[in-house]
Amino acid sequence: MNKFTPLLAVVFFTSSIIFTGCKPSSSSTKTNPDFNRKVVFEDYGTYGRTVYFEDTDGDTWCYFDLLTIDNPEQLKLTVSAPMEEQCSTDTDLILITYNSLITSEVAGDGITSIQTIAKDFQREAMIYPSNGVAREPAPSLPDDSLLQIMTILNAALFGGNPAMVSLNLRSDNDELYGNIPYILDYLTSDKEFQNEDFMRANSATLFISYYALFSLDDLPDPSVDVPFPMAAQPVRSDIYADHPYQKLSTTETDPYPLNQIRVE
Amino acid sequence: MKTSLLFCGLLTLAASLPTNVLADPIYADDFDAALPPVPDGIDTSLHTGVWLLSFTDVGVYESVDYDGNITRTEISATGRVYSVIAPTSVNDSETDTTTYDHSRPGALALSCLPFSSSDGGSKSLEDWSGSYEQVNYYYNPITDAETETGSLSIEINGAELEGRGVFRQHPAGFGGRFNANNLIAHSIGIRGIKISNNASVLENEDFETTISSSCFGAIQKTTVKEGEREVETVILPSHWQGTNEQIINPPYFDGYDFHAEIFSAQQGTTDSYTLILK
Repeated sequence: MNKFTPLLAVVFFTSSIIFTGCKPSSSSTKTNPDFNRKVVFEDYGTYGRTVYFEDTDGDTWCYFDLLTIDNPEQLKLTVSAPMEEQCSTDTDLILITYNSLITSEVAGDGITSIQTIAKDFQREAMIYPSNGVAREPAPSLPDDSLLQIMTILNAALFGGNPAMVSLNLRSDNDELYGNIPYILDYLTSDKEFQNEDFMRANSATLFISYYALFSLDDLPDPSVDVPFPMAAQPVRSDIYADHPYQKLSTTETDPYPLNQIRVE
Repeated sequence: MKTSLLFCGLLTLAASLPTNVLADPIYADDFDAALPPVPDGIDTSLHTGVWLLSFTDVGVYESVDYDGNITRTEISATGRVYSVIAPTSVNDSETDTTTYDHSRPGALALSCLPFSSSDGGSKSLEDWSGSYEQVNYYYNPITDAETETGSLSIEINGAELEGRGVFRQHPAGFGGRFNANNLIAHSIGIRGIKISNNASVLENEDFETTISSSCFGAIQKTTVKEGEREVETVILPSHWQGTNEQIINPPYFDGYDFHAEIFSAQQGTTDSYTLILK
């Protein structure tokens, strides 16, 4: 023991006083409904619907929207490339799937609210063939510049702050209604960057980048007033209330059977 | 009364000791030892500069299986880091120049701390002087709700600072609902001294260093899980020490200086991390 050991002991004691009370308690987290292990939604499977919107030229567009919940831990959001006038499986379609993690489920007023986050956001693209039988991966992933840009932007501006995104499901007369979380919901976790003004100012860039994911030649005219993507839409309930999900019969070879979806 | 007088007297004695008395190399077991006194020539009128911090951060993780069995893991990190308080930068697009306003300091750069990546982002900081509170949060665009998850309070007196933070669960620290570790909460206490008026680590005439990070250092990390206790030394930021890299010379602090060496088995090279205050 050297001559300074007693001094270090005093200093350590001082440190202990300063740091006393550092030990955290987990009790406060138990009241946060955004994190729980309660399993409410158990009607597992893949659901599909069509969603229509009009662009600024008044042209009508449609896309397939699929929701897959196979367990209480994660869900998949899948959308097809938009197509003019009416949804159809007559031509090969690119589908893009985003996986998100479930953090909690809460039941109330006939609505199951599933909280999700997009930590380590995974994306996969595939071609849904017109014959609807043989699924194959897309020959090359579409340009994911938007995802990269948004991820970098989110990390730089918000420290990689993941947004908590609610999927609200309601069963009514054997039909399932749900809102439409979108990739932009997950990636911009700052309220200031989720407001309508921001979306209005940046919608053209976001839209063009987003459509680049689908490698489309013919793009809808960018507009903040259309529900594709939904992030620019301040009120979404009217849109998804008109489009219930149908439960689909999937197989290993055809996990996204678009041809079962009722075309409205 | 006598005890408190003696205690205060010893504290005064500790504070008045010359630098070299406390300059014995400090290795991981003693990372909670007192910081050296503030070096001569430090400007106490501005907060911007490089700070040497001592901290203890204690976090609790939980993992739950499908049967509801909970496994708790407590991680305690005691260490020292170098951190920068940078001035506000102002860009003039017309002249393509950047000026720095040292009267408007930013927050301490603490991104290398053990749990900081699990705390998510913090709200932007207003102009401050003397103290600030930085609040962490997450946002739900569907419900338009912001949920605060904790905060870090920093108070500066001259060239010394103290800080305290308490953080609850945040999506950034979420691993999964079942069979995955989730950071439930952690709490940190910080003390620090300003060691340079220049708000940069690499471009700083006060230092000899090749380090450019604005937050780096080392911790002794104690993990307690199911009665098992494991102690290890970790260099910060943790990505400096990957899975194929190992510490060959344990990190230590010598007064204001820092030394560490990491060997990369994959590349067969040794990286030295050294900062010396001239």
